[in-house]
Amino acid sequence: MLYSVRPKTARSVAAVAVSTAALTVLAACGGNSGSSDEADEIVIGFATSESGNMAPFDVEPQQAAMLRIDQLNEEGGIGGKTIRAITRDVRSSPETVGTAATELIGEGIDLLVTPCDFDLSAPGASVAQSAEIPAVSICAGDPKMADRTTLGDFVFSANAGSDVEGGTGAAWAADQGWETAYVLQDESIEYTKSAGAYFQATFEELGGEIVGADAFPGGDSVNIASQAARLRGLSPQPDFVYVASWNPGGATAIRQLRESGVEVPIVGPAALDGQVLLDIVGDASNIYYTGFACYNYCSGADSEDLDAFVSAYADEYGSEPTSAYAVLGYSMVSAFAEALADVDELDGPAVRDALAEGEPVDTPVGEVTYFSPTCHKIIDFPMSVINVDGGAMTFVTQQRLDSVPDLGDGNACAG
Amino acid sequence: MIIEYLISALGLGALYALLTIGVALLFGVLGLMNFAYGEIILAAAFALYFFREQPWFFAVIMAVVFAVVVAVLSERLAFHPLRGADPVTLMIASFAVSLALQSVARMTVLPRAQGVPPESFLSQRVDLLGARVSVLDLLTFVLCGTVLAAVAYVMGRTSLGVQLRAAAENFQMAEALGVKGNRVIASAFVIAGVLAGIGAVVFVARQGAVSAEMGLQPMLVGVIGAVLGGMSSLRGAALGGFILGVGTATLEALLPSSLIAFRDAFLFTALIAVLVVRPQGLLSGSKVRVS
Repeated sequence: MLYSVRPKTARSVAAVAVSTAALTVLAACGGNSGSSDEADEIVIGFATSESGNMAPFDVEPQQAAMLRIDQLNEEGGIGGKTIRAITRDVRSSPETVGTAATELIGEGIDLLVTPCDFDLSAPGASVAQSAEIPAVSICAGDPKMADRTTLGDFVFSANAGSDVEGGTGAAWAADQGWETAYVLQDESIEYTKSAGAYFQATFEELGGEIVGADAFPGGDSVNIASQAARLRGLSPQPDFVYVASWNPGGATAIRQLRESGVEVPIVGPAALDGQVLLDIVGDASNIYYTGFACYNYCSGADSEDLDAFVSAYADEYGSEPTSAYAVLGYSMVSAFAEALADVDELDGPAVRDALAEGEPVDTPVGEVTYFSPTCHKIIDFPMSVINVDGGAMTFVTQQRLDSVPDLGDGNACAG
Repeated sequence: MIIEYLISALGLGALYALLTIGVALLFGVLGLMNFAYGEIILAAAFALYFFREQPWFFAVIMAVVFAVVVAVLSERLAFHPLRGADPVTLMIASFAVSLALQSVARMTVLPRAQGVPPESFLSQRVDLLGARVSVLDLLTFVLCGTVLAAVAYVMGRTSLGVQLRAAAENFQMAEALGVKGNRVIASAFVIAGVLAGIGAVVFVARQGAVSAEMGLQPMLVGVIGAVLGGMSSLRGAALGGFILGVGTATLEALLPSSLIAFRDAFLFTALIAVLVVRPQGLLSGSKVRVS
């Protein structure tokens, strides 16, 4: 997912401090603070949530990553080195992430994988930063995860981010010839705020006009009757509405917009993805979102690579993935393989530099450039525009964004 | 626009009043601040999700049944053994029940949010006094209003109501005068269960989503509304909930979009101001149970 709703507390700051201190002690005691002793293997530590409220976002991407690791090992590993994965369940708790990272680094990992969430990843990534071991969030969407000055230059996110999602939605809408947009902003988390802000900036940059904007607090209890009435009162109606929100509140907002008689197309970011959107909006139509992939609950992508991924996943785990976040975990390991194929000495800075080199990587959704020296996340992710209509999801097209507009908010990936 | 706002605000007010009465009733009779109230709502919401393919009325009945069963079971298993214990002990026990039920839901049926498709007849709009009003808003208003009236009737005009009020006033004295304590407490939980069930029906119809954490917000509404109106009086609690609902809808309608994120901050600042002037709540009588 994105970021937890939970505010950053003194607790999580304390967790960072404690785990960093623990690491220092560990290093002083002569613990193995560096890379693997075994030259013929690459050790990846997963400090992710197998239980707790973040588990739904971590479990599938991690299973998909394990699947890719098995596949690569069968093909002979990365550059002749076998991949070994060590996992620690961080139980969706920021305190545990730091400890787990410290333990994993003590066991000599070469790379740390942290949860699908900035707030939860931060304590683990800070520990890795002080140990100079690269830490990659499996799918955190906050641009701060990729900013080398926030947590450090050893920290990455294997996701495009909410800035890219918002921008891609704007680029696609502009391609449809839509000229006027209305933004309905969910104020609950950073993810939705930056998705909305980058949508707006990109749409204006492409010549579109924002004819109105409104907001709602988001969360579990959504009631946008007044917002819908204000939107309905606009004359002429905008060409479309951008709902910068996430599930389930975003789906609820869309349902209430339709129930109140707003009929223009609705566009939204990737956090609306999943079966739950279909269930909540029911038979509503003319809804689009920019997702990571279109498979099983979505039809029309006709991609052999995606079908192969889904069937391999189902063979391994007995059921198909329930959200498109799974494919991010799978592709992340492909990116590791691409970057580390020619790296002989697996010390932290070498691994970091190899990751940041920015080679294009083949993934089930197409070619993706993961990282660059200045931007530690994906910019050119081929987002799948997905149409929700009459209780079904269908693939419309793939849309890429060339660059993220600079909002002056310190986003290292902008420009 | 005005009519739409009125129907929407009155509907939300009636829904919140329903939720606060459930909380205030148990507090009155048992001195129990029931933080597991949200999970009773969750049980009803789960029934709506589970029976989403069945006819809506059947799902609604099952929702009420699930809520009542969970409410009564929580009384039997958790609160009955603690009868007469310190109110703080009861409150902690209700936290435990809440967490346990929520964790069970998360581990078994609701690891992630699930959607409940909208009922087509609820999504329609009808003309009312020149405005297009959604059937759902009308139903919220009518259903919650009817249930509130029914509760008022039961509490005011029936023998059970007299016993409940007597037990709320002075439990030992009521028992000494022949009121059957167990029966009264069980019926209080049944009524709270029915209220939670109806509340969940309206809540799920509006949100379309069911998740393990969904009980938190309605529970808070119930507790805060009850505190605002006065914990010791059901009428006060209903008024508190109603004001909270109408206030929320009004702030949504009036606040500029840059301030809407802080809606609850405005609402609760107003609440604090009220409590500074009337710490016992709006409609509290002279006798306040502070336990």
